[in-house]
Amino acid sequence: MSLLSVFTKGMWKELPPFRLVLGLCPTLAVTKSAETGLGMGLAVIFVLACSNVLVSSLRNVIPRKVRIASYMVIIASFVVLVELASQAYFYSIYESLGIFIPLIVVNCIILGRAEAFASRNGVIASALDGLGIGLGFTLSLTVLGAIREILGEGTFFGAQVMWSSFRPFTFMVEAPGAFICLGILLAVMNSFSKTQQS
Amino acid sequence: MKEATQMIVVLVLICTLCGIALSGFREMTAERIENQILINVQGPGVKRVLEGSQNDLIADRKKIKIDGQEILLFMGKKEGKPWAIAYETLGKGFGGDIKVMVGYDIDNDKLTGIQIVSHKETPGVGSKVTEDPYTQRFSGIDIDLEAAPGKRLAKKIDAISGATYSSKGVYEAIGKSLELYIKIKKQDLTK
Amino acid sequence: MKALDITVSPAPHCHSGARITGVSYNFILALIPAMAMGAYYYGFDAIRVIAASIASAMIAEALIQSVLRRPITIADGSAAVSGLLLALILPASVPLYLVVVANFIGIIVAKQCFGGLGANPLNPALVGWAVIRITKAWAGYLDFDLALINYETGFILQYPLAVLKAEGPAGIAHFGLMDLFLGKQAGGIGSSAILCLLVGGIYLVLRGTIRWEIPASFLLGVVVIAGIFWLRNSSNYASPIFHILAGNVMIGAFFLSTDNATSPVNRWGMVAFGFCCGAMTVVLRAWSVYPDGVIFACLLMSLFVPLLDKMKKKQLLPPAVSPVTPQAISESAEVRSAS
Repeated sequence: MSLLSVFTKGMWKELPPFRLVLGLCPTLAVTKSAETGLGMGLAVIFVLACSNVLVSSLRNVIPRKVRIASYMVIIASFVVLVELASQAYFYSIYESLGIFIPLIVVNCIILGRAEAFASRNGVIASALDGLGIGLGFTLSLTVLGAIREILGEGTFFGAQVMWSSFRPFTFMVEAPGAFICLGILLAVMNSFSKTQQS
Repeated sequence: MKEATQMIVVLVLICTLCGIALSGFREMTAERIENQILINVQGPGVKRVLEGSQNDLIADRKKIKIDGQEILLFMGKKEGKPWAIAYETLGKGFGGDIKVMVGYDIDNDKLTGIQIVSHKETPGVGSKVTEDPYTQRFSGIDIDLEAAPGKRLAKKIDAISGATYSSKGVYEAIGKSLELYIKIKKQDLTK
Repeated sequence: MKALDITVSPAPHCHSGARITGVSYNFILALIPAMAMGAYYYGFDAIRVIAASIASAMIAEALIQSVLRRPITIADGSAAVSGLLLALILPASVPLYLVVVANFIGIIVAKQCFGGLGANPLNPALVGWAVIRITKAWAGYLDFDLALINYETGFILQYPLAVLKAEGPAGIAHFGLMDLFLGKQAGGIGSSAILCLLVGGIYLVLRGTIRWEIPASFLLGVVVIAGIFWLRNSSNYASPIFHILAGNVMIGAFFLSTDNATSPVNRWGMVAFGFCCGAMTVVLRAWSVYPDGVIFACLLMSLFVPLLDKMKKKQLLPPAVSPVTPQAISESAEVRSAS
């Protein structure tokens, strides 16, 4: 596999929430607006890329029997790093993401990439893999957040985009709206990839 | 045996290194985080209860000790002279602690106002105590320093119907706050 | 198509002659008096909402079926019925875009995404209504007191259940029970016409389109639970008669909860389903923030239908009515025409 395809597979072929259907908990919970979706995505990119690099460079040192424990410690450290940094420098995003930043630790995408990719591949490939998957995750979250924000609040990244008499369809920013929106996007993507294959 | 030692050594090493890195980073950001919390959590409340002050309220905070209890005191100044103070106290509400910021006009012994800093009350019912129509009722009430505890406010404030526990929590916090105020008044605030 | 896991009594079967089309047109026929009542009181506005609702439900169904490349079945009338039911529980002044959104969500998300008629776990009309109701910016349109403020109908335009919620039983003394029964009360276009709905419902029961167990146990549930509340504390809770005559209970008992796909197939399941719907309605009216609980009660109980279907597995039902879901009817019709 070329390095380019390692990077780009996260954008479509293994797009985390839609193609792999992984990491749905934050996908549903933090996509109330495009901004929080993007913030969450950026946090995940950072954690994913850093933990991939570290896991990959330590892959010959860590004994197989304690590898999951070691990965968890590494991932958790980066997550705490992100939490402290966001609290210190981006307080509004920290407030809106709330409990979901610490929960990146148990986001299955990150441990999944560490186990499935970084523990078997070189540092550069692992870094690209983390960046690619993280970017795909970020894009998905931002798109989902944008759709929900535009319909549910009439705004995009906080700026008014709908006409002034628009009565926002706030259903979309509530929990059921997240499920319905995600389901429809999944269906559209599945049918799209089906027509591509045939 | 060798494998077991290797496992232990590697895991301990990783944990130690991560721990050191994290505690270092925590040290680095501690001050900024404290500032951010002050600005974003207590800041808005302080600004409301000390309205009319001309100084930077967050920067002019100080810690004082009353009976071994540490209190974060915010001081409002007009033309360089302190005129009002505000600090936070806790009361037990329906869902958990209610943190109330109470402001005092120290020249006239009056409440300048109260603001709810954080709470866990039921949205739409108990959370009414955080809204302006309720908190505004406390603005400008005279304090009787001589009266018995619980009767120091010159005016009785009604509870919100349906939010009795939440209202009680707010009173409890204000009661504690008043006790502290009497002690703080005895200290020299200009220092 | 994959066979559905449905509870059917042992062969031989006797086809009742019921078709989906027949069921749908019986429903529409039974609702005509209520529609007429709404049109009489609220005039063109009511007709506008009903027309828009039926049209948008059918368009939504045709649209999603053509996208999903399924056979287009708008002619069987099931989409029209759900559009009509939605219109009848809305106030006459509701903006049309809201009707369209509610129908699209109801038909596409709650019905076709689950596999179409017969496979939907929830009644599409009720899902559409619930989506509007929990959308904060739109819920005001469903507040009957605000929505009907500009109408002149000759009776008190206060929603009885909202008055009950705000003032307790003392406030509802000026609502004559006879007026409520004759439909002289503020409410949805058709859901307030109690007498008309009762007539339509009895017609449906006599025709065998719906079974009597659900409406009867629904009303029983309302009476029993409201009675318990009332007997314990009549100064805080309204009488059972008032609960039956006000709000959506009548339309709920005969038309909303009896939808074949979202109600149980065996007799004791139906009784339990209806009774719990009625009980839940009164509980929601007494303790929730919503003035009326019929729709949420029906939605909630529909989720228990797979469980209720297991209550009693095999049972011979009287052959007058087909005990299976419309989906199975259409399948058996296909099998018959194929053979």
